[in-house]
Amino acid sequence: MTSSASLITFFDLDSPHVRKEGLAAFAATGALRGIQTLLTAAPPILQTHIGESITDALKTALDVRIVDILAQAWSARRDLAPYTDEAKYPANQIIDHTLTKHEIRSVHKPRVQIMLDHSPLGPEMEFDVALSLNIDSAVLRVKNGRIMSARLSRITGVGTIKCEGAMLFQRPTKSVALPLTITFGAGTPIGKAKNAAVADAA
Amino acid sequence: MAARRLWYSIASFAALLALLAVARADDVQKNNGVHVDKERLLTDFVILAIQPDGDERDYRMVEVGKTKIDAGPMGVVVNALPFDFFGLRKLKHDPAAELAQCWAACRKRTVCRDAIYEPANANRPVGVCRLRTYDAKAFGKMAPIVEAGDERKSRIPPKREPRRPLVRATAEIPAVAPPSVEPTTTRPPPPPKRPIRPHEVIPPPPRVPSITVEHFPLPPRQIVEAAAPPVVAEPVTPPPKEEAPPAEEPVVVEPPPAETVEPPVLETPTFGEPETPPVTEPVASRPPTSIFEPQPPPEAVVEAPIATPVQRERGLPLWVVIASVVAVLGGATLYWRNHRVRTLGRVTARLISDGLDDRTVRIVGAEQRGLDLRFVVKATAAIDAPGTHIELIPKGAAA
Repeated sequence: MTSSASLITFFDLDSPHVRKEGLAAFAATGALRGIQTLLTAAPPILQTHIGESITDALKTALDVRIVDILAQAWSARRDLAPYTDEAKYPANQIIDHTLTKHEIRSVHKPRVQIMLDHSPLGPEMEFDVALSLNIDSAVLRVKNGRIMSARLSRITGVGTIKCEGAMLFQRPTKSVALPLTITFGAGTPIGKAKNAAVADAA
Repeated sequence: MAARRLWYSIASFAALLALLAVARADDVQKNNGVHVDKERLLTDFVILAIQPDGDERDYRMVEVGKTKIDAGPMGVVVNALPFDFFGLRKLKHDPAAELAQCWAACRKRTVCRDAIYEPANANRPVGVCRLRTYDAKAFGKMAPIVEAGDERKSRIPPKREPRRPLVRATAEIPAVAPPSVEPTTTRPPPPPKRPIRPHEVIPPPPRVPSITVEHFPLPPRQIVEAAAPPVVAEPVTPPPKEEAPPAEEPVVVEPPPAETVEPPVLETPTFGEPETPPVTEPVASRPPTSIFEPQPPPEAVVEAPIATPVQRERGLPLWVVIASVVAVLGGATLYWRNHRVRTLGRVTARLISDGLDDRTVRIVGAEQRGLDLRFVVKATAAIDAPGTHIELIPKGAAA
């Protein structure tokens, strides 16, 4: 895993074989069959092109870096909030904060609309993109109230894309070389992540 | 009334004959050749072997109305395809051009009255043009041979007397041509020769005059002479004594009926003034001689020597053909791709929402605060040994 890895590479949507399998599963959904019914009078090439168009649109929604998901999850932890106190933790002080085994889950739901001659065709289709990462341990380097980098011991997980309950793509994580170091550039501010929830805050 | 019915019958019969003649003539035309009856008269033809005329003629210009258009560009693709693709048979000659050449050759000759063109076929790869003349001098009738003192001379009608015995319309026959008589080796040895009397002089065999053979258009002219057939003579068998007439007594030869005298087959390819042919004096001949008559000259229809037709290169150079095919295929491919792009462009999938605004990121199953041992390393940006200290926070202690 590299810092530039995104969900597109995670699901390997650039692979024709993976796309074919996903489209085969997507053809069984009622949404796609309903759209193909509306395109009965259209050339057959258009009916087969719908799946490719949806996949291309889905790639845009999956252009999310995994590092950003991790940073967003870690920055929301409450136990890192005291490091934002500049009086207790000066800006020039480096703090390595160790996290034991934990799981990060990310879920978002992109929506796609099929257009025929610039007119909507059929209902909108909603996809469930879920990513679950199991991290054995992580050492976060905190400086000036920001997470500068992280060293991971072992990370595993699985990602799924569903549509109307049908599994389109499912992909486990690859083996990761150890130790894995992730840098966050200028750093991720602690406690300022949006749309993040910490489950273990209680 | 009876006379009218008779005329009706005669008219009907004449009409039937005319109908048959027309049908027969039509069949002759369909045969695309010379009928046997006509071929008999085609003895004084100039035989022209026609070859396709190379590259001198530009067949690319096609006459369309009063103008000519260049058919070359249009034939690029067609020429690139094999002939079998259209079910055609490859011709190495142009029948229309050869026919035109045949007529042109006839027009150049004043004595030519007709021209008959035979296209090439499987047996003869070159076309043949026959130029026909109607030179009356080329024909004649043989006069009776009467020796002096023959009693039967009086029985010959006087009107036949002034006939010329033979007229040859060729200038190449020598005045006195010794016959080339060669005994065969398979024959028994000839008996002792006896003196040949003047009246037994064998007239020279007719020779086939040289026939002009022209090849079109520019190859060196080849003149093919039909060789005279060898004359084979058997040994003279002495006649029986009881039937042998006295040598000094003239023998009257019964002339054949005038109607049955066939004019000798003569070939007069030369159109100049014929020289005066040698006139054979009427001499008495010994009737029962076994001397073989010379073989009749070969048919005047002398086939032109088989000339290899000039192999013309069809179409344009290979690289032009390949470039044209590539251009056509490239254009078709480009059109197909554009059409596909336009068709597929009708259907698009628009991403209404990427869902990132509502994305949920959670940490599940993290350690409970204060239940593990954490290492907190405190150091300044300028790391040095005295300024760096490590705080060990025991498990369960607050940060």
